[in-house]
Amino acid sequence: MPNEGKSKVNLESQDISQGVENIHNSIDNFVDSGGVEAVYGKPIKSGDVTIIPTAEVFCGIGFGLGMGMGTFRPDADDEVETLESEDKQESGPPSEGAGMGGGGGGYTFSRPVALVISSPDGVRVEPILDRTKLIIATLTTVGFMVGMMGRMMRGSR
Amino acid sequence: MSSRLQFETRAGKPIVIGKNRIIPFYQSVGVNMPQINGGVVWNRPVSVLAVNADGEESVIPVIDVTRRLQIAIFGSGLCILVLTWLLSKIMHKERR
Repeated sequence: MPNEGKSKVNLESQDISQGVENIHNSIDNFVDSGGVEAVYGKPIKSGDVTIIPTAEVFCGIGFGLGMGMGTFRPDADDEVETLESEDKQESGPPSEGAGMGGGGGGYTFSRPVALVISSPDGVRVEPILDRTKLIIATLTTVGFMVGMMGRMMRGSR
Repeated sequence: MSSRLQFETRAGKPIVIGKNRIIPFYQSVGVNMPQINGGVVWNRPVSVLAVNADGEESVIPVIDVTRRLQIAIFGSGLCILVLTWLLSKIMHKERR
């Protein structure tokens, strides 16, 4: 009977190692997705001109795994005291149990940076200006400056 | 608490467009954190090596104008704030 328990645990540890391997493969695929194919997009043709979009790519990933196992012995002293006499007669060998679980998550962010333009005249790079980001940056800076100047003026009084 | 930091510049596969050949280069920064079973990767374009029909090579940098302007806005804001603080200190001393 104890051998059965051992084989069960072995099977579960195999499942865990397989699960971890699958997760590592997923991470590798996830990290590869942020590689050169994502930074330099597929060329877009328009007549004699071909455009290659470029982007900044940020990827983040994390996961967690946990497992636990336990043995229930009905003939143990502390258990016997709580069990009724009928249950004592039916009590059999110790039963084992185990469980595992895991979870993970990831995030990918990309932002266009520039366009690589190839024409019969040659190759050139045209930058992409994100006006929304610049407006947000300006408003944040002005808000911070006004707040800090107000604090300084109150402090000087 | 050792975290593995990777910082490297990589070259992509050459792209042939007509008579031009473009080799893209990108910078990759990766942080692997085995303690927390995770990591982050940040890739950004650096430059392209363009080879024309005559075999002339030219390296064209890929400049992130938005990022540079963002840094300039935050930097100038910080400089103005520090200057204002210094001026207010000087004026406060002169009044005394």
